Amino acid sequence: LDSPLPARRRRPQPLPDAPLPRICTAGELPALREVHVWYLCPDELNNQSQLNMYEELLSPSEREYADSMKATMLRKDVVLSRALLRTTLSRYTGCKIDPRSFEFKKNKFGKPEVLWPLDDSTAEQPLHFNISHTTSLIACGIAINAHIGIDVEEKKRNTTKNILSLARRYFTPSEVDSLAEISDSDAQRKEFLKLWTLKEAYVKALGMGFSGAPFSTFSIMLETSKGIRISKTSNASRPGYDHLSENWLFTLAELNSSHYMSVCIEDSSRSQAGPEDSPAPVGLKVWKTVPFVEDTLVSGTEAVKLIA
Amino acid sequence: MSFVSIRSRPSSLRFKICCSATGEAQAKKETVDKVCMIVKKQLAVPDGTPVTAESKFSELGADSLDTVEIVMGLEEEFNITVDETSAQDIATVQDAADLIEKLVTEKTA
Repeated sequence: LDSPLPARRRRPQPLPDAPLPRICTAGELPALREVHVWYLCPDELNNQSQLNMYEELLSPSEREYADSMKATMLRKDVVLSRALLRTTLSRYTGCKIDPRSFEFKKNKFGKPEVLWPLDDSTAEQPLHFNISHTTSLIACGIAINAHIGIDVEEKKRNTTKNILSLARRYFTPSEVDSLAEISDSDAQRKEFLKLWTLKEAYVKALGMGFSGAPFSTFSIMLETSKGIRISKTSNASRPGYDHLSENWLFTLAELNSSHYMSVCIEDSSRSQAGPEDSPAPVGLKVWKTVPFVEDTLVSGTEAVKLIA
Repeated sequence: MSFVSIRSRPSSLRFKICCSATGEAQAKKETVDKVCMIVKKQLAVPDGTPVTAESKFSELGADSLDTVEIVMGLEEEFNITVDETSAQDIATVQDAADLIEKLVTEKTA
């Protein structure tokens, strides 16, 4: 989205109707194997002054992208998504870097990453981020020294295609089997969505695009008692998939009683769990935010129910 | 000095310029229309919103699950298989239509 731009940008600033306080709560950096997630709900953010303030944070190319959206709601989602990312990143620099100043680059597969200024000491512990959105919730995941992928999906989402047809086309045989065992169609649909978000989170964490890790090259096993495991399938032994690795940690939660959220981070610890051990748990802290206005820590409450 | 009258210029020159503009192979309108229909249905696009060859899936609000469902719908409609690498490059309705025609041609070749 962004091409390198000078950090200083002069933009005319319209005065909001009622001046809003700009709160930046500096965040403590995530620990090892810990993920921080900040999310907002677009339907609840309708204060035009606030929205103008968020839009003011965007770079020219982000604004152009927002303007390219045909529907007003989609445009609002783009603005909120970028504002969420920028304000979240700012917190983890101790509020020293203005949300407007962040610049981004894309890796060769198109995954966005922060372009840190070379002289910045916060770059010693690189922050990694990933965003996911549905029409009703936008989430930003943050990790330290670990690649991260996050995916959210509405629990009530219906597919136009039959669940097992979708699974047969895109998932692995063992995943299809585990879905086929579920007789209740609604339970099956929900299980599909959980698997979908987990697989998406892995692909996004790897950062090589859908074709870099086709869904049929890895299986995710979701046994709530033993945690979540990933394993490569025989499809992955085809040339071109050597980069598929299994040292990734997952967590799956129900968010706001309305969404499934999967997070995947790189397991960089030296001692990795053997096949019989449960994978190391991923620490998860979640905040619901109205950027500049209010942050609520929701992990540990009903708003975040860990599934695995 | 003699000037060559414009009228006496060989007409084939004009003809050539005219042809090269439409020389690229583009998907048949029929294919584009079918793709539009599948996309509209998958994304539940409201009647007032136009979906054309230039429409970008992202601008219509398609997420990754929508995209794979659209691709599956196209595979069923046209009896083709779209691999992940090709699917990733589809950004617009036109891209999808062009890919479909390419795969159909390869199939019947």
